[in-house]
Amino acid sequence: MRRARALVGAVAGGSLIALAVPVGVAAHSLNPTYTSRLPLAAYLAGAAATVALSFVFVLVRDVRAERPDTRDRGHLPPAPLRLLLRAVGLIGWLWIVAQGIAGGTSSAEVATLFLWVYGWVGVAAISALGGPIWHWLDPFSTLFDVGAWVTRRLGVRSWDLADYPARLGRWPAVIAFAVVVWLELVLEAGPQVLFIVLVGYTALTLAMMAQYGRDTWRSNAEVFTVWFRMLGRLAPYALVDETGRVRRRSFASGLLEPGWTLADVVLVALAIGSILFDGLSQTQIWFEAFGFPALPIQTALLAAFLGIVVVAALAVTRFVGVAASGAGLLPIAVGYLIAHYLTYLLIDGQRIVIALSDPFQRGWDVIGTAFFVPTGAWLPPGLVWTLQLASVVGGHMLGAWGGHVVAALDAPAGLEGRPLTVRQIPLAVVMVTLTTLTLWSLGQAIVVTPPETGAAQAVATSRG
Amino acid sequence: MTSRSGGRRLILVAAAVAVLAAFPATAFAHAELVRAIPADGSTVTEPVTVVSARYSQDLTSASSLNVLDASGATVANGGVDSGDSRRMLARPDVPFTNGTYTVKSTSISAEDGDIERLTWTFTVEVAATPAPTPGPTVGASAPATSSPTPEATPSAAPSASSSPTPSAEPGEPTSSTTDALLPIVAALALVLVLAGFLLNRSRAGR
Repeated sequence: MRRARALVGAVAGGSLIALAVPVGVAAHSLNPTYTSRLPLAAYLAGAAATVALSFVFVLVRDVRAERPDTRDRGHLPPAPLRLLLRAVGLIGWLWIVAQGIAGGTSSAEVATLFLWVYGWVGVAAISALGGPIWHWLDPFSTLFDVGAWVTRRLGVRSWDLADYPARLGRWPAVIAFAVVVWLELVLEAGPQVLFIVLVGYTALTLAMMAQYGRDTWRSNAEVFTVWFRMLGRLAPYALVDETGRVRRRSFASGLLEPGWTLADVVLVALAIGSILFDGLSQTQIWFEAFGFPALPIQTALLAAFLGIVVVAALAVTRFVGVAASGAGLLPIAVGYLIAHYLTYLLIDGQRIVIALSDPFQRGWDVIGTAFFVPTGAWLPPGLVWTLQLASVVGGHMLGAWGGHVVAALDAPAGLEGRPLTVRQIPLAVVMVTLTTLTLWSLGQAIVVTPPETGAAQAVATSRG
Repeated sequence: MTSRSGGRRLILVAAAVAVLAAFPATAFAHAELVRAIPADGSTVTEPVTVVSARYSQDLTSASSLNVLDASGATVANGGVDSGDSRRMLARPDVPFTNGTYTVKSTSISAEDGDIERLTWTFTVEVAATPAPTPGPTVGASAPATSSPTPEATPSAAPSASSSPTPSAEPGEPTSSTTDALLPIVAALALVLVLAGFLLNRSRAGR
C-alpha cells in the first residue's frame, strides 16, 4: 500500500511539474465560431419554463418509478464496429503524437480538434445520447492491450496486480477532471501543451493499468472513461460489463440505477461549473469586473467558481441524498454541454477537412482542401436557438424528474421522516439558478482575446 | 509484484515525467501577412506582372504563394523571395490581364514552423486604351514595408480592435422577438413532449 501511495504521489507530482511547463500564447480552445446569441425572448421563455417545470415535477405531480431492471446480459456490438472504433481511437492518438513531434501549429492541427472538439464535446454527446462509444475508442486501453500482447509474445512474465485502494474510489478521476478543466479554461492549452499532457497522461495511465489492472483503473480513475460512463447513464445503450456487452434500456433510466457516489456528484458539479464558467467568463460583465486576468488570478477565479458549485451540490446531497443529487444534476450538465458547444462541434469540427490535406503540418495540400475555411453559414439561427433552448430546458426537466424519482426511492439517513417536497427544494433551487444563469450567458455578447495581440486588445463578438 | 519491479517502474515513470517536464517552452505565433500587392479586393488597371506578399516573420522555403484564375486554374506559382525571407513573390509567365484572381498563401514561419493559410482576391481591369494613371501594380523592386496596411489584410485574417466593446458583427442575425418566436415554440414543444412522456411514465425500466 505504501508503495502504491508513493507511486501515485510521485507520478502526480511529476505530472504537475510537467503541467507547469511555461507555454506560449495559444488561442482559446473554445473560440466562438458562431455569431448568433440566444435572443432575450428565448432566454425569458426558457427561464419561465424552467421554473414551471421544476414546480410541476417537485411540487405538483409526484411521479414515481421503480429501479430499472439491469439483469439483461446484453450482447457485444459487431466485431467490425468494435475493431473500427479501436482503430479510430488509436489512429487519433498516433496522429496527435506525430504532429506533436513534428511541431508547429496551424488549422490542420489535430490535438485540439480531437481532444477538445471531438473528445470533450463530441464523444461526450454521443456517450450521453447514444451509447458507450468510448469503451472502444479509448486509445489508452488499446495501447495497454497492444503492450500486453507484445510482452506476452516476448515471454515477459506478468506480475500480480496490486489491490486498488477502495478509499480512492473515483476521486482520482475527479482530480484529473479538474486538471483538464484548468487546461481548457485557464491555460487554454494549445496543440503543443496538449501533446505533452497527452503523452504524460498516457504514461501515467499505462503504468497504473499495469499496477492495478486495466479495467480497475479505467473504471475508477481514468478520467475520460469515468466521465463518459457517467454521461452514459442517460444513454439508451448501457455498458453491461468490461467485456463491452451492451443492453438496450429506456432513455435516462440509467439515472435511477444504483452506484452513485459522492465523487460522481462532485464530478458532475465540476462539469456544470466549468461550462458555466466558460460562458460567463467571456461576457462583457465579467470582463468589466476582472478584465483579462493573469494565470494565477484566472486559476483562483475558476477554483472559486467551481468551489461554489461543488459546495452547493454537496449541500443538496444532505437533503435528498447522493443518488438524487447526481440524477438531478447530470442531465443539466448534458443539456448545458450541448447548448454551449454544439456549434463549436459542428463548425470547428470541420477542420478535419484541412487536417486530412496537411496531416503533419508541413504546408501540404494533398487533397486540395488545405484552404478550407470552417463555416457556420449553413446553420440557421432559429435551429440553433431551438436546440439550445430545448437542450437546456429539456436537460433541466429531465434532472427535475430524475432527482425527484430517485429522492422518492432513497432518503438519506435521518431524513426519512421529512416530507419529500421539502427535501427537494434545495435541489430545485440550485437547478433553477444554474439553468437561468446558463440561459442568460447564452444570450450575452462575449469578449475574447485576439490570439496574436495579447490581453491588451480584445475583439467583441457574440456566441451561438 | 515484487518491490524491486515496483521500484523500477516508479523510476521509469518518474524519468518519463522528468523528460516531459524538460520540454522547452515555445512561443507560438504565425507569420502574419502584413501587406499584399495587389491588395485584397482591389482592382488594378494595368496588367499585373508579379504578386507580392510581405509577412511579419521570416519564412521557410516550403512556403508558397499560388495564384488561380477565375476558373480555378493555377496561373502562377511562387515562393519566398531569394533576397528577402519575409516576402513571397509569384510571377506569371504572361502578365495577368482582365479577370478576377485568387491568391493562396501558405506561410510557414522559420521561427517556429507555424503555418498560416490565407486566401484573397484581386481584379484586373485593363482599359482598351491604357490609361496613364499608375495602378498599384508592382514589380520586384516595390518598396517593402513591414507596417501593416488595412487594405492588405485579407478577410480571413484575425482582426482586432483596441476596445472590448461588444457589438454585433456585420451580418449577425438580429435578435428580435419575432425571430425568436418560432424557435421558442419549437423548443418548448420538444420539451413538453418529453415532459408528457416522463409524467405519464409510471415505471422506469428497460
